[in-house]
Amino acid sequence: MSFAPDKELPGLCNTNFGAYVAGCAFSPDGAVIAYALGDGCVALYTPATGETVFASAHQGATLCLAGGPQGFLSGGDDGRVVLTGYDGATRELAAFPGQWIEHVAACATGKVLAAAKGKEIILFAGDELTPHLLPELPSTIGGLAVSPDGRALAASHYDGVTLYAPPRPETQGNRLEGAGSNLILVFSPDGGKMACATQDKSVRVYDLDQAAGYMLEGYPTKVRCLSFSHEGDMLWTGGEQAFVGWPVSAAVDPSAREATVFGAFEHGLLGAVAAHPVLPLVAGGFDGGIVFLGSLEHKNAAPLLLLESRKVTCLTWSPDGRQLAGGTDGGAAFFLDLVG
Amino acid sequence: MNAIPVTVLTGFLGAGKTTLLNRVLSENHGRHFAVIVNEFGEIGIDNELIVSSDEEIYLMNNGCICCSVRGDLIRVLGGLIKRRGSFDAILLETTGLADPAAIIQTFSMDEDIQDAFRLDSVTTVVDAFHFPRHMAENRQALEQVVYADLVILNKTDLVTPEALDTIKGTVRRINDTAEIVTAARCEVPIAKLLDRNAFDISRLLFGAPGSAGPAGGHSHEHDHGIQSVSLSFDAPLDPSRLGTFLNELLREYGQTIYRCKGIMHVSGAKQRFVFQGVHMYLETAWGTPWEEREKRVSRAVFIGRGLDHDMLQQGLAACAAGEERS
Repeated sequence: MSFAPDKELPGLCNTNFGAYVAGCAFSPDGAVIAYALGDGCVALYTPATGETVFASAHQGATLCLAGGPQGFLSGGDDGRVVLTGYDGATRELAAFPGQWIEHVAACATGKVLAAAKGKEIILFAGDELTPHLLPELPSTIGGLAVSPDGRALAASHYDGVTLYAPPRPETQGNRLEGAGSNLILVFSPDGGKMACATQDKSVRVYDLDQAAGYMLEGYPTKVRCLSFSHEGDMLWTGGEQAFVGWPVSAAVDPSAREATVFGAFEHGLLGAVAAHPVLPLVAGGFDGGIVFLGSLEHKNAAPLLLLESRKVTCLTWSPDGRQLAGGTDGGAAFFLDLVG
Repeated sequence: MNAIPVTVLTGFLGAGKTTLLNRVLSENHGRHFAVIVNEFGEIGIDNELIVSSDEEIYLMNNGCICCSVRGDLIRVLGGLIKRRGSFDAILLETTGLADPAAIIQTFSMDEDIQDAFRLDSVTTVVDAFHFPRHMAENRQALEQVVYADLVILNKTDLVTPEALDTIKGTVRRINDTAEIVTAARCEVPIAKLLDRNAFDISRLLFGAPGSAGPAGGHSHEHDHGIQSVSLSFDAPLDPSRLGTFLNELLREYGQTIYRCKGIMHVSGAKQRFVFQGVHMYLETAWGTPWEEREKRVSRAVFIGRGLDHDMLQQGLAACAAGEERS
């Protein structure tokens, strides 16, 4: 079950883990990629050596994953929050038997490590990473995100999002309104904006710098993925059989805000999206297992690779944008070095 | 990839849901179940994969009260997808007061759930001994019967045959499309419970033939105003008028129409036109073709609170083909 070079596309390595890939993340230095697997493992792939190490992080399924300088933080349906080092050594940070840990968040600076357990956020504070439970939120947490600089942590829940800035055990949460059931949550790279997908086929944007918020609507289905562009002026979303990008800079007149739509793919919905960290490019994984690379400048997208699965579940760029990794519901996963 | 079947077990506290659940799990059926329960009760459940899920009702469509879904189920089922392969069917035990409508709507309103799962059956366990009191005190006891495709009348050894007949009559009157089985301690053959495909519109069936009542329809009024209205029409209906009528009807009265079902004879089609709805959610499809010599009759059932029989009757009659719409 290790990665093998693709016969046709240079730089591409494929594998099949034989288990649902719930998430993938690069280490901040880009040297190691982790894949969270439905069999409880966290698989660590080191491209330089071609080695794959399987860490037995969880008893049931690994449900979520985030990368930070301390290692990879994962949550499982065994109720455990585990930190897996780059060498594959695991350390249990907290355990809540009988519960599911469905969301974890970490930032590249290493300042914030957090997880969600039902209605509560677990914040791992100090050098010892001691777990602290924040006060219960009004409903089960639907999404958890930390800003890349670690200055803000936010959780989405029914009827709103609660923001903790700075994220410390004693910080009072600031409740931002947002009617209905709120799901996946992301920050813009500068931390000035948040976007949250809802159960009602829409996306809500919170412009924290401007203290403004608005809805993006018109999707045929629920939006499963969100990603801000590297400059934070575009928000890429799934929920369509195409790439959908919304201009979200404060300079855009809200009434004239129009989505850029390209790369129409009639065979499946966009289920995973990742904006390039440096260039105006965006990678998107469509249902059916095909990954496209889209260009904002040219407003088109070209197929990059095909994975043998029904759904692309995750896509992520290395911090320098030279590598792309992703996984699927059927276990197929890839690592692509675009520079060589 | 096949959708994973989900069997919902509902019924009042103490009706025998957990007994039934354990009965299913202990039988040698060669299946691997994932079990979702609301809370771990006093009776242990003997299964490897068991998940607890706290009921969280989410309103959809900007707070429309009858477009509610179970947010917790979306989450739990979404998590179970990640363990695909370790189970091949799901048993979902609800609380005694759960609203089955929100559960049914979850399976029709969330794309991710629809994609990976299918609602196989809503089985309601009724405590025959306590049912008269339950239904008098709580509307939910009747509502759970309304949404069932299988009703297990349990603890029948504790009631007289006459009392049992009365309960059967009540169940029939508010839901004459459900199958009724009787049991003393939930000893129901597992084959009865599984693979029912009860919510597959292409297999939509009414209970016993003719059970929808005499031509022209009838209705019954009950406690809490819950009633069923069965209607039948011999003349063919116009499919587009019928579609418009049903959509407008549910938009206007979806809050009080719990369920509707119909197998309709429409003009210009060899196939039956079928529909089923839960509150405002309506699904329509073409059913099986009519047989050569079969008498083509439209039959529809509406179950809800405070239904207007004449309005339904006249509304459907106005969908007749070849007549100007009034």
